[in-house]
Amino acid sequence: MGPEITVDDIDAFRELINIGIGRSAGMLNRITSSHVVLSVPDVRVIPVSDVDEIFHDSDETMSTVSLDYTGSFSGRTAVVFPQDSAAKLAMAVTGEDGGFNDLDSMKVEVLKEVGNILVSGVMGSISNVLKSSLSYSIPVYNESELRDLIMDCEKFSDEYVIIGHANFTIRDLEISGNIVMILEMGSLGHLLECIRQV
Amino acid sequence: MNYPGFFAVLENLPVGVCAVDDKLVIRFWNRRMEMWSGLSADKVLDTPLGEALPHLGKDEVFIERLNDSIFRHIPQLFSSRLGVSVIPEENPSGKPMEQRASIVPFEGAEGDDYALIVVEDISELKKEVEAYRKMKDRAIMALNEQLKAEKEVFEANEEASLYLDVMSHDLNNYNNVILGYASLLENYSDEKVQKYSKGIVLAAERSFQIIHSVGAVRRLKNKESVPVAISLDNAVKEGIGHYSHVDIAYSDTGAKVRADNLLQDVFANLFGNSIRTGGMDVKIRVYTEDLGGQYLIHVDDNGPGLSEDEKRSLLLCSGEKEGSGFNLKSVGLPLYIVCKLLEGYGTHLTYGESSLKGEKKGSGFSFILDKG
Repeated sequence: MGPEITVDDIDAFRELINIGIGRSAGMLNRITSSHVVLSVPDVRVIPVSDVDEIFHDSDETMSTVSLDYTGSFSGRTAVVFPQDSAAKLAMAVTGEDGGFNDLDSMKVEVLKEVGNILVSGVMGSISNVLKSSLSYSIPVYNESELRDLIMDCEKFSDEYVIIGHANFTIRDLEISGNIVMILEMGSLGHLLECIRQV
Repeated sequence: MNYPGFFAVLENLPVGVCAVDDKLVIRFWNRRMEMWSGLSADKVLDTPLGEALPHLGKDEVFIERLNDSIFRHIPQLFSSRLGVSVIPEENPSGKPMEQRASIVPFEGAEGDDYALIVVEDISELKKEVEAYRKMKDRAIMALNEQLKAEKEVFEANEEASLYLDVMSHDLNNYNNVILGYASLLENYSDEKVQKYSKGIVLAAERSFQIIHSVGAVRRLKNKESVPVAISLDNAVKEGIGHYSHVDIAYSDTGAKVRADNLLQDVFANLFGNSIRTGGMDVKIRVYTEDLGGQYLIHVDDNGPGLSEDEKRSLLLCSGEKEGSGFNLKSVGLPLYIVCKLLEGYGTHLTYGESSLKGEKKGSGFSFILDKG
């Protein structure tokens, strides 16, 4: 673990993510009209140099919608789906039936919107809690491995990253996914200062 | 807002652009928005968005996300597939428009918060995707049909194979009965009876051999074995063992050749072919020549030899290709099996003069095998 992070800091960060994904789950519930089950967020502090090794086994290609931000803290928040879940979700929310679980341009359009809603939900809640203004990029859809999602985040100049991660499932539709929040350690320091001021 | 130059650029873009302030009042409405919505800028400027486009005003999720963009500066993406169409479905063009919309926050000169709503027409993209989906569905259906047909062929083969196994087993049972009675007849001292019994035994053994050959053809189809060093003497003797009353001469050589356990079938079928053409009194001789790294193996008989058609067809055996004319029907089952087996060892059957040539010209078969 990085030298300046305490267990209490991790708990505070976990709680912040929990608030964010709670709002996202509510939105997902409204979109799919199905019950969404969320896991307790898992928070890990890892050296950037170890990311490749730690996520070496997660070589499944995932559908991701990510949102980068800078400001008082910088990072990336993404929603990550296994590809069959992504296709099922796109079909479920548009009411399409039959067909095959592959992703064409129209399904990707839908998925970008759903992903955007979810990551906006997380970041909107965090902005509310922290009363902090951030500058966001346009949400981006990608098909990549989890480690690439983390490593492609160009803002990382620190030795460590902090990764918050929560799993959600929509049992009725057999869909699962993850909401991942990646922050630079330096950013985490700013973020924690904001949290302490709340 | 006072950005005449900025908005002049937006005015003529090929996408619809609308700007709203933090009270969701429309502050800009470009020409494309006028064209698609049928609402002129004069009419909608300074009007609340929910009034100009009532379907958006009623959509709670849209308004919540628009506010997220204005107040929290989070960009938003919309695809009309999910239900929200910025341009209403009933628009002046009369055709529903497939849209992609983005909401981008921006800050005015005096620090005021605005949102730019950008609408793109992706109807063409939708058409292309639908065409692609149809094409893909057709391809998958065709593939499924093919898989189904292949499964049916496989099942039919399995069924035919089962019938063949049962039939072979039953025929061999009757062959055994025939051999049993024939051996009883051989004990009679009457020469005629002995001659007839020899004929019956040979016919039964040929019948055994034909059934065995059919089995060999089936094994050929699934043959995966790699040639290894085996005893030539054993292979020849096992081939001879299929025929109890035929005069087949062979002297042990101790040679090892690169082949597999189907080599005995090469000899059994060459002998069977000699009996087919020369009858039960045919004489057969097997001998080898040492060529250094290989053995040249001869199987000669004193029968009438092959017909010209059979010889021509056998010639094609060495360079057999699809459509070459060499097939089972043209040379008969025994030689067909021999050619196929030798092909698997990387060699071929040749036909020439027989060392047993006498009153009849005889057949002289030969092939080369690598030393093991």
